[in-house]
Amino acid sequence: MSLREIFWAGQILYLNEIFLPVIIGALIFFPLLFAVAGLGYWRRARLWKLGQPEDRSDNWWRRLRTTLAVAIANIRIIRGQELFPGIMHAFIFGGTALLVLGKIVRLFSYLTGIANPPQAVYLYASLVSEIGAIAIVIGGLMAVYRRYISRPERLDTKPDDTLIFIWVGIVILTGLMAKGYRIAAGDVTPSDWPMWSPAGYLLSHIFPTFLTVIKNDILVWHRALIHTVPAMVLLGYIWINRSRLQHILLAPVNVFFRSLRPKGALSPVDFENTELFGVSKIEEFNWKQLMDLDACVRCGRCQDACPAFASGKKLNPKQVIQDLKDHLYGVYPVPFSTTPTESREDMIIKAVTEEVLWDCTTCRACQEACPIYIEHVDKIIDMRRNLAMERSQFPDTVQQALQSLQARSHPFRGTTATRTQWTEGLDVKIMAEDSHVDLLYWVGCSSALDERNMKIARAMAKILKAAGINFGILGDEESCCGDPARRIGDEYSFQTICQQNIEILKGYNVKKILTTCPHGYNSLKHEYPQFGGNFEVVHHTEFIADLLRSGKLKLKKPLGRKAAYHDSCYLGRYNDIYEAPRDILKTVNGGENTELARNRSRGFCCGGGGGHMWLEEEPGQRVNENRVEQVIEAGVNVVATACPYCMTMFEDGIKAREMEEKLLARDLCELVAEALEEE
Amino acid sequence: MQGKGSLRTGAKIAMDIFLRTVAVIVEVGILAVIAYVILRGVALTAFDLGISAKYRKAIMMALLAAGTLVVVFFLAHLFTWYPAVS
Repeated sequence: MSLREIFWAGQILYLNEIFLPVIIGALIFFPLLFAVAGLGYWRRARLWKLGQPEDRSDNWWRRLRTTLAVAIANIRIIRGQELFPGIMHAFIFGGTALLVLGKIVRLFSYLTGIANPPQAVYLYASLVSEIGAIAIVIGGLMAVYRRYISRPERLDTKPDDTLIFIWVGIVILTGLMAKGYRIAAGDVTPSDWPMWSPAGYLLSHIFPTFLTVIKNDILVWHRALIHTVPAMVLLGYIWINRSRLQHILLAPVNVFFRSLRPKGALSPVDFENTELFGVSKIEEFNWKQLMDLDACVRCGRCQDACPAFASGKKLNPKQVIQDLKDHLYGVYPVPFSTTPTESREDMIIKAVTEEVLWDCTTCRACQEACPIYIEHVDKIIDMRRNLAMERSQFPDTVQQALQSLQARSHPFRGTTATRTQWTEGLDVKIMAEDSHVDLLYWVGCSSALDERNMKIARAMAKILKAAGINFGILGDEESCCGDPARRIGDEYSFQTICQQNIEILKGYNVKKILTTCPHGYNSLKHEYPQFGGNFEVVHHTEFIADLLRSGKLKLKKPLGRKAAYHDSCYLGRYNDIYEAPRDILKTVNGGENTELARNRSRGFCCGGGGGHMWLEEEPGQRVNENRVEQVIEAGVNVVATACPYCMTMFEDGIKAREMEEKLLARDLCELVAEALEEE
Repeated sequence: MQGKGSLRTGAKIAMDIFLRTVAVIVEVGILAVIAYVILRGVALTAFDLGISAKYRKAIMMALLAAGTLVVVFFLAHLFTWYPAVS
C-alpha cells in the first residue's frame, strides 16, 4: 500500500466523520443564506424599479461579451496607469475563482465518488484551491498595503472595508490551518504532499498534536468549525448586501446593462409626452441610473481622472454618486418599503449642490475611467436640465450666453462679427448662392465669430481649396449646433435649434458635412439623428489625414517644431478619434510627436466643454491653466489642438502663465495650411 | 547524573508551558478576531435593517459583553484542551 493510500485511510475519519457533517450543516444553512441574499437584492431592485423606464434589453450578445470581458478577463480593471490595483484585483479575483473551483470539485466528489481521495482529481483540486488561497493572500496583502500604508487620496475606508479584510484573511488562514492540522495529525505523510498542498504542508509543521487519536479528532473538529463559521457568516454578510463585496454580483449586472447609445448622445426629453424636465427627485432618474448608485465600489478612479477635481473645484464624481446613494436611502430609509419619507431634502441643492453640477465640463474622463460603466455625466446633465428648464437657475454668464443663443443664434455675447467675415478674400461659396457642392463646411460659432479662431476657418478653407474640394458654407443661415444649450441643460433650446438646422440642411439636400469643431461634429453626428437629421459627418482631422494619406494634399515644407497634440474630449473620449490628429502632426512636423503625460483616453480636459466656455472660473481653480502647466512640463513649443474651444482655453491659459513667447497654440489645420505655403 | 536529567526535564517542561501558552494565545487571538468581525457585522446589519441609531450605544455594549464572554470561553476551553507542544 502506498504512503498516500495509508495517509488517506487515516484521513477518511476526518473527512467522513468531521468534515462531512460540517458540509451537510453548511448545505442546510445555504437556503437560509440564499433567502437572505434574495431579500437583500429584492430590496434594492424594488428601489431601482421606482426609477423611470429605460429600455436596455437590446444587443444581449454584445452586452454579454462586454460583461465577460470585464468580469472574467478584468478588461478596464487592469490598465497601464492602474497596474498595481489592476494586478491586485486580478490576484484576488483569480484566486477566488481557483479556490471556489477546487472546493466545488471536492464538494461534489462525495456525491460522484470519482474525485474522492486519494484519486488524482482530488489532489489537483487540492492544489488548485491552495494556489487560489495563496493568490488571494498576495492580492489581499497588496490591498492592505494600498489601503492602509500608501493610502491614495481617492480611497476612503469605512469600518466594513476593514472588517472584510480581516474576515477574508481569517477564512483563508483557518482553511489552510484546518488542512495543515489534518496533515500534522496523520501518522504518515505522503512524500509528494508538499507538491499537492504546499501551504497546508508548511503550516502542518507548526501545529502541536495529541498522542491519542480521539483528542486529535476533537482538535480537527475545532479547526474545521472555526473555518466554517466565519466562512458561512462571511457569505451571509456579502449576500446581505452590506459590504463593497456586493460588487461581485452588482458590477457584472451593471456592466451588462451599460448604455449602448453613442457615447456622445445625451438622451432626448420627449416634450410632448412628459411632465419631467430633468431630474429633481431621486425617482426621476431612470432605473439604471439608480442601479449605478448601488454598483459603485468607491474605487475612486473617476475622482483621479476628473479635471475639475484636480483643479481644486468642488466636483468629485465619486462623491456625486455616493451623495445620490445616501440620498436614495435617506428618502427610503425603511427596508422593503417603497414609501418615501415625508420630509425629504432638495436633492440638487442639498445632496449634490448647484456648484458641483456647474463644475462639470462633461469631459467624460470619469466614465472612461470607471471599470463598470457608471454614467456620471448623464446624471449631472439631467439635474442641470431641472435647474435650467424648471427653476431657471444658472450662473449669470451662462444665462447671458443662452439669451444670446435665442436672440442671435450663437452664444458669443458682445461679438460684432458676422458669420461670413472670416471668408474675406477667400472666395468661399455660400449655399444660398450656389448649393452645387460636394461638401458642406459647418464652420461653427467659435471659428466663425471669435477673432482668434477665424484663422482656423481660413486655414481649413485654404486646405480644401488646395485639395480641389468643391465645398460651401451656410453663411448667415448657419446657427449654433445646439451643443452648448444641451450641455448646459436647456434641452428645449437645443431641440428647437436642432430642428431648425435639420430643416435647412435637408433644404439644401446636404449629404456630407465637415466640421472643425468636435462639439459640432458630435452633435451633428450623434444627436441630430435623434430628430431625423441623418448626415455623413466628418471631422477635419479625419478629413485632412485622408487627404494627406491619399496624396491629394501635398505639403511643401515640414515645420520641424517640437509639438504635442492635446486630445479634445469630444473628439477623443466621445468619438475615439485618436490616431488621425497624431498622423497629421507627424506628417506636418516630419518627425515623431511628443506625447503629453495625460493623453488619448486619459487626456486632461481644456476646461471649455459642458458650457464652461461661458462660465467664470475662480483663479487658482482654472482647468485650462492646469492643462497649460502639463504642456509646459512636456517641454514643447507648440501645442496642437483640433477644437476651437480648446484653442480659446489654451490661448487664455498661456496668457495667464505669461508663456506667449515660448508656447504657441495652433489648430492642426493651421499647421497644415502653414506647411502648404511656399518657403 | 540524576540532577542533570531533572534539570533537563524541568527546562523541557518550562519550554512546553511557554510554547503552549504562546500557541493558545495565537489561537485565542484568531478566535477573538473572528468573534469581533462577526459581532461588528451583526451590528452593521442591525442598523441596515432599520434599528434606530439611538440604540447604537446599547447594542454596542451588548455585543461587547457577548464578545468578552466568547473570548473568556475560548481561553478556558483551549487551556483545558490544548495539546502539549513537544
